Order: sequence, then C-alpha cells, then structure tokens
Amino acid sequence: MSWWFEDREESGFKEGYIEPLIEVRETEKEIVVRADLPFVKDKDGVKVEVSGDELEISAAMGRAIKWEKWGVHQRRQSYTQYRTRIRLPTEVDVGSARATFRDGVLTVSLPKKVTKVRIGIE
Amino acid sequence: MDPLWPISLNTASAVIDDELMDGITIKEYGNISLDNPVFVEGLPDVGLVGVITTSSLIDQLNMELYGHIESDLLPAIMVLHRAELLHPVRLYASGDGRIVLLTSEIALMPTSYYPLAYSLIDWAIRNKVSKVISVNGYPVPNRLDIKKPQVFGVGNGKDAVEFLRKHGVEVIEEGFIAGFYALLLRESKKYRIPGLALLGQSFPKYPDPGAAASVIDKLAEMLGIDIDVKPLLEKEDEIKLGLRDLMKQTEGAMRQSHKVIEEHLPAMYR
Repeated sequence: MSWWFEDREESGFKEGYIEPLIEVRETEKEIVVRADLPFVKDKDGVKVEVSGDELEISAAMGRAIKWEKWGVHQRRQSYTQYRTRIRLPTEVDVGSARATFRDGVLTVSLPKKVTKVRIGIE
Repeated sequence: MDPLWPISLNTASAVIDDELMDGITIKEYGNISLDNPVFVEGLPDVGLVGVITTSSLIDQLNMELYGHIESDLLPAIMVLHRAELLHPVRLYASGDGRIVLLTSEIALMPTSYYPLAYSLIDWAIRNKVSKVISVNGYPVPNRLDIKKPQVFGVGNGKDAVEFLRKHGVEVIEEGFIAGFYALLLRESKKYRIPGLALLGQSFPKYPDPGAAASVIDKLAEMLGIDIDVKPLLEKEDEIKLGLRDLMKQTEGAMRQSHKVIEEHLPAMYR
C-alpha cells in the first residue's frame, strides 16, 4: 500500500505523499527511469537525486489531493507530493545522469558505470 | 438459416462445454432486453485503456448495470460505491439493448482468462451478439513523443479486417497479441462471431486517457454513436491518479500473461 499517511521513521518522510508509478528500462549502456506525475505542472517542483545505485524522486503537486469518503484510514487525508526511492539494478555514473520533465512524465537517464575491462588473450 | 449464425443452437442450454467454463457464472439482472448487441470488452490491460473507455461509455450513454461475473477464480473482493456493495467485474447495457460492455475495477489473474473467455463467447452466442470488440492499449516506448495516439486494429477474420479498414483503422499484419483479448478473439473466431480489437498507442505502465480518447473516437464512429472525449481529456490528471492502484495490480497480471511478447517479432516473419 503506498498512500502513506504516517511518518516513516526509517526514511524521515512526512505524511501526505504518494509513490508515483515508475517504469525502469535497462539497456546495455544505461538505465532509464520514468515516473508518471499527474498534477505536477513544471520541472521546478521536481527534485531528482542519485547516488551509487539509488535514485530518489520527489515532486510537489500543483494542488492538494483529498479524499473525503474513501475507506477508513485514508478518509479526509490530503496528499501534496510524490516521493519514491528506487534501488537501481546496477551502479550508475552519477556525473553523467540527465533528467527531463515533459507532459507530466519525468524521465531520468542514468549511464551505467563502466566496469568492463578487456582481457588480452595470451 | 440466419447468415450470422451458422450454428444451430438451443438457446436454453450452454453451447460451449460446461467444463471449459468451469467456475464462471455470468449473472444477468434481466432489466434490459438485448437486441443483437455489440459486445465491448474493456478489462484492465495496457494503459487501462479498456477501463477508461468503458467508463466513458457508461457515463455518456447512461448505460445501466446489467449483470456481473461471479467466480471463485476471482479475488475475494467486493467494491463499495455510494454505500452500495457491487461485484467488481460487471456488465453494463445501453437502454436499447444494442451495446453490452464488460468492465472491471480489479485486475483479473490469468488463471481466470480461459474459463471467462469461454463463458463470454457462450453468452455471446446465446444472446446473438453481432460483434465482439475489445478495446485496449498498444504499448509503445515513445508514447511521450506522440501527441495524438493512433488506433491500430486486429480482426479475427476477413470480414472483421475489412470492417476495420473500411473505418480507416490500420490493421496489424504481423506480430503477437497477448492477454485476455487475444483469447476472446480466438474463441469468437472459432464460433464465427466477427471479432476485433481496437488498440490505441499507449504508455505501457501508466493509465493513458489520451490513448483511450483515440480509441473512443474510433469506436463511436464504428457504432454510430456520439461520445465527447473532451471531458475525459480535461480530467486526465485525476483519472491517472485515480487509476494508479489498478494500474499497479494490472502490471502484475500482465507480467504473468506474457504481455512482453507483444514487443517481439514472430519467428515466421514474412
């Protein structure tokens, strides 16, 4: 369940955030992560941080989303941001990472760290 | 003999072997008389295009709740709307009995696909369904670059393919299709019911109201009905957020139904 409405001590995230839908595609040279961010209107509200093999995305919605009658726990909850932390399948070159935001979709391109070494054949 | 119905049938009994439909019951409420209806299938799949499309039709055509699917193969889930307890997999019918659609608020597991497809085709034969139409998304990696998604088509025979082309739909000539709609097309072909799928270019893993709008436009033209897609496009963000959880469930189901094969080239490529 990813409609968080209580503090998560281990991450320090506050209440009122949603985990966005994420798509991860891996090619030989890079990992591309896409996040669907409805209600996020421009890139100024989006923050992307990458370290080693972890990617963190947060984004502020243009408006608060509220549900009045949904279930029991989520009733009268208000959500104003997206947050997610993704473990990447391999380490990436953080210096070469790029991100774009278009039509409500964030795309992060993360070149893989080059670890291939050619071995000469004796 | 009715040219649409080469099979001579006893409408009181099942046409398809009971064992194949094992565990699936189609409950009809009997509130509307059907009149050679078109059956539209819009179960959760790529981009939730089917769910969004059928929701729009229900809303704009004021379709009535006509029945539901009951089965132990479905998850033990009921849904509440305005305090009313409803089955999550439901049938709706237009007032004139000429359109019946199937939609769902939960992702169906592939274990239910075969018996459900057999049951629906059995139901279609007994109710003299004139056409079976699946509405769905077609996953494309460059969807962000596409302003107005194109609608492609798959037909289950020459007549269906001609029908698609007559309505300006580009027919997919080579490739794989996977998921519930693939089974529905297979079974409708077996029993000679014209069957087709309308597939809008779609995000693979996000709800895609834009793709649904393209599919709705084409479906409305085929059925000769008026559907305004503007309200759908104006509420795009709300729909995407509202369907987020269903999309996550559906992604799991799509993995199990080998959906990824739709991106592969068939071995006997011509």
